[in-house]
Amino acid sequence: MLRSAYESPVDKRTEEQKMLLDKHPSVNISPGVLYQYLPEAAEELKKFDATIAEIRAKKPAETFLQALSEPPGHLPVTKLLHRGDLNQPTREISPGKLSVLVDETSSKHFNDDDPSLPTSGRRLAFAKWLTQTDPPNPLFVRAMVNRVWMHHFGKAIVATPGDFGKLGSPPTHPQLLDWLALDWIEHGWSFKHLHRRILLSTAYRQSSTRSPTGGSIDPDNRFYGRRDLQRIDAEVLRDSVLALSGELKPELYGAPIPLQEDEAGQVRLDPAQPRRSLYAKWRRTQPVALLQAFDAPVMGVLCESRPSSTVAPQSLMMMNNEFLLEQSEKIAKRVVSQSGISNTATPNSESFNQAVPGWQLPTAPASPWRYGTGTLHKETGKVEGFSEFLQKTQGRSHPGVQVPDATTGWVFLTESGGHPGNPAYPAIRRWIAPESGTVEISGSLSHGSQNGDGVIGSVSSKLGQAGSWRIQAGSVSTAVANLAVEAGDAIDLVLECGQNETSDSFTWTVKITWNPVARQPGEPAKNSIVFDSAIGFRLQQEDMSALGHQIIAAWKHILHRAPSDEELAVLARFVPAQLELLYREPQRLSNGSTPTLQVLTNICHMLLNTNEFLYAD
Amino acid sequence: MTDSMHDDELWMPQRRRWLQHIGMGIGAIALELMLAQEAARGQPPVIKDKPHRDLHPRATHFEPKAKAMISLFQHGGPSHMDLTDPKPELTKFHGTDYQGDVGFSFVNQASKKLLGSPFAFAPRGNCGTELSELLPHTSGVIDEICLIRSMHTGNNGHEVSIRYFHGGIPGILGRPTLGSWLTYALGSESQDLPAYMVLSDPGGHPVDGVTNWSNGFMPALFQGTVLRPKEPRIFNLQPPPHLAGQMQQQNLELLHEINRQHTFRHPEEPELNARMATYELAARMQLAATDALDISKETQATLNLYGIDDPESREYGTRCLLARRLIERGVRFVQLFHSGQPWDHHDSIQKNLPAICRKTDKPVAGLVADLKQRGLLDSTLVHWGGEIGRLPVTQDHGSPDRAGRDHNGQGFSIWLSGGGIKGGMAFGKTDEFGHKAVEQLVTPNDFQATVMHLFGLDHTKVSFPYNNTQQFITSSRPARVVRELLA
Repeated sequence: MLRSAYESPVDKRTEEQKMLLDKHPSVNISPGVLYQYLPEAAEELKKFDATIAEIRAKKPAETFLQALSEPPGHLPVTKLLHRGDLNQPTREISPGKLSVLVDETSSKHFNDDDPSLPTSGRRLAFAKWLTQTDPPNPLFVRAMVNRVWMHHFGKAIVATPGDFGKLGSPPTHPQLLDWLALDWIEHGWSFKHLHRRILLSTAYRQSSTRSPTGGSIDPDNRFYGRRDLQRIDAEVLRDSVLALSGELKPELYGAPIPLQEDEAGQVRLDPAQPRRSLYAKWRRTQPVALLQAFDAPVMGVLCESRPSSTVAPQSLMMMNNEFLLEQSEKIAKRVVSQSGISNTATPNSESFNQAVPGWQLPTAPASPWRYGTGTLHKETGKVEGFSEFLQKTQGRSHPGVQVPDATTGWVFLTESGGHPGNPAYPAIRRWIAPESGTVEISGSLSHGSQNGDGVIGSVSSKLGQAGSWRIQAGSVSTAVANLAVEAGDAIDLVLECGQNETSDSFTWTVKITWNPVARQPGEPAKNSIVFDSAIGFRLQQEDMSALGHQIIAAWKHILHRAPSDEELAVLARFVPAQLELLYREPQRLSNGSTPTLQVLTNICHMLLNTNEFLYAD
Repeated sequence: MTDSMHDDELWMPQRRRWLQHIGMGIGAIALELMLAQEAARGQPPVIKDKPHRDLHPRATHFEPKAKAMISLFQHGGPSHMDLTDPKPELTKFHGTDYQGDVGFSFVNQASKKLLGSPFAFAPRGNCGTELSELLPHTSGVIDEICLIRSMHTGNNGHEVSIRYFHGGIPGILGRPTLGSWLTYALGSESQDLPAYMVLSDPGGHPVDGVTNWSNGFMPALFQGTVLRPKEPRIFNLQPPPHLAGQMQQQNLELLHEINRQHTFRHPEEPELNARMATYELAARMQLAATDALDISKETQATLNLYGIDDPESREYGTRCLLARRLIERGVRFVQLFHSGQPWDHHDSIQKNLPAICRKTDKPVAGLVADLKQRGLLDSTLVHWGGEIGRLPVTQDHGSPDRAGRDHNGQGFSIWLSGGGIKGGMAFGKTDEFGHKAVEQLVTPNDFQATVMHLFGLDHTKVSFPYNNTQQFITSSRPARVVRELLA
């Protein structure tokens, strides 16, 4: 019986079997408890573990790449493939040059075998032919410089970079192509030289502005009368966004950034590894959505030139994709910290108006929340002598200039919780009913520390105590149903320490659902409003005075310029309208944002969407 | 509408009012588009030498019959002598050697033994056109269909013929596809959805990949927009809840204003305007696409009509139904593709051909029947067909049950329905074995010219300059409007 109990799976054991096993713990031996029964065997096992670890540590990292190489003394037979199909070989062919490029006097063939080399030497012969200089290979050099030109200008001299033959396009500037090709060879095939040659040219350094005459003579800019506007590439887009948020990790080398799927099934690069897109992992079956949307090539076929498409899914990506949304918020937070003006600085409406003349910000709606201390009367269960905190610093609301205060002790409240004072000064978060009706309270009270003696949370109204929870090192739901209120009535969330106030940090977030009329049980709620204690705190703590400077800093950070007067005028309409919307619909802040941070985030997000950001001019 | 709306706005056309009040970015571009549309196709037809880069609705050269097209492309080469083109002679001489010349793609398995169809044919509908037992549902709508039995690409290869059908020249890459040409010539009927949409297969891209819906040398504005094969069919269609609705509208208005200021510094850059337009389209798509792609309100009868109740045809049926919902909302050109090339039956055709028929026959016939019952078939052209057909001789894999057929671009069938096409008609002929088209040959260029004609366009007048040359869909190759097919 003991054996059958032991052998049945843990989740399938009957109560009887469980009891049986509890009685005979020695059957249930695992490596962890082995020492209790067979100390010497446990020691032996430890030695094995150490040996395993030692051997594993010696295992070399796989730093090699798979490559093909040619075995010596092997002369492969190559056959012409019918329709290019590997399974349909036809006649044998020998190694040779592209015959159309070979003049009649020289040989079209490579040697079958190079006796001076251990291998056949065919690939070396091919490489030498490609890079010969007298005369230069007519195709290879032109093809290379044409591609480099294309990457800088967005269009190539030969518009079909993979086809210099009859079906391809003729060069728009044949002499330029040849000159660049020879110049490249003369400078030792140096790509650095080739890039410098192109980037320092007058043609490249032009402005993209169209002139009326140029536009009518050469609308397609075939003669490079100006610079063509170019949309930035997919990788540049991602890297630029990461650079702006400060997340970009510039380290070189190493393993590629792994791929992941987000909740919708969209493939993204691991957000924990914000390295350059150059290090993105490429799998044909898992193209990275962001990169693919902006024309990164599908890896199934060779890509000789990238198209630059302009389609609505790109806009949807930029508007709604979580990468853009998260990065916009990070950029906004970075702008806040770098502009040196924090939102908790002393309010100064003057500085705000200096930054953005003519702005009229809406005033935050009167808050139903109060933060303070008082006495919870033991018999009536009501709060007496409520006294509101007068100080706000660093996201805390508290009574004295400093925390702790000589009289009240450690008492303060934050967005999500706080700390009680000494036994006479509990932390009280008060909500005042806007009109008569009923309220339901949902919430969760947590206390983290094993030290001290825990805390007591109580919900109190003019009717007395509606609920009370004692908690230490744990969490409890603080639900209160159907409490009748009249306009101006207070609901107090009172947090007292026990005997002493040590180790009594707590979190207590609540949602108060207010129904304007008392309703019968089962009657659906009409026009009920939810008051979220955390959002309420954020709304009230908010200081808008730095917002103007922060927006201008965001403009300079993302677009490298200050907003124009016209743009300031647009912002003077946008910002108040958006703040007003956030005051009206505070549930939009349930992602943990504040009104100014959300507005700033939205502005950063839209700046990333601008043509000015997406195009190189 | 808001309370502040003035009385004098009440007479405004509904959509324009909607756009002004709810639409994004005050919709400068969208409003312009919409006004253009309301001016009853005020834009002149396309003009040579003056290519446009916008989606304004345009006038046609003459009165169009078709307003939208659904192309059900059957990659791989459906075997016409087993499906649409009965050949009693082939059955009679089954197993004997074919006397004519045959071009093979797979030379190692080539044989000249004729392979009679193992599938039974019978006259269908009132018209009596014979179809095989593999297409029972298509047989049910045969009176709406014009079957062309004399298609001819002259090339047996897949890619060569695919590019011929889409781009007008056999084998040549980098050309705009039929959907791009139609979108270019006609503009967009819908202001809320892309004009040219592609419904892709869950298994992946078809053979020749994105070339199938490429805009080639035309601006990206005329490129096919691909819908994902599963939910969500469009990624990133909805913002997270905290941004949704009014907040995103405010954001996009801000974006529009910043971009508008930017265009003053960069005038005459069509690309910048095009990108601004994609934001407006994206914002409208959020509403319109969500609605168009939601088939939950379709009746069970409709779902059954498309075979969505049957696991075998559910996936293709769903895409056929989505195609109808898209053209109902003004999408101009919808194309359905398979993954790979499921009609490429080199091997075991007797077993594999019925499988792909079970997957597609009911959805395809359901689409035609549904368009008909909704009165949409008159203005919607439906196209079914692959790029090639198959050979009458055996591709030999040893045992008879593994027998297949090799490629054949010399003669094969496609069909058209609706959009000004004569129903209940069979056109053209292949030889007695089904090898070559012998009467009334139709090439992909003829097909393109005929489609353009149905849309009210003269294919010799719709051009786009590229490489110093006026380019046409048929690339000035010989092409005729096959007038015999017109209703």
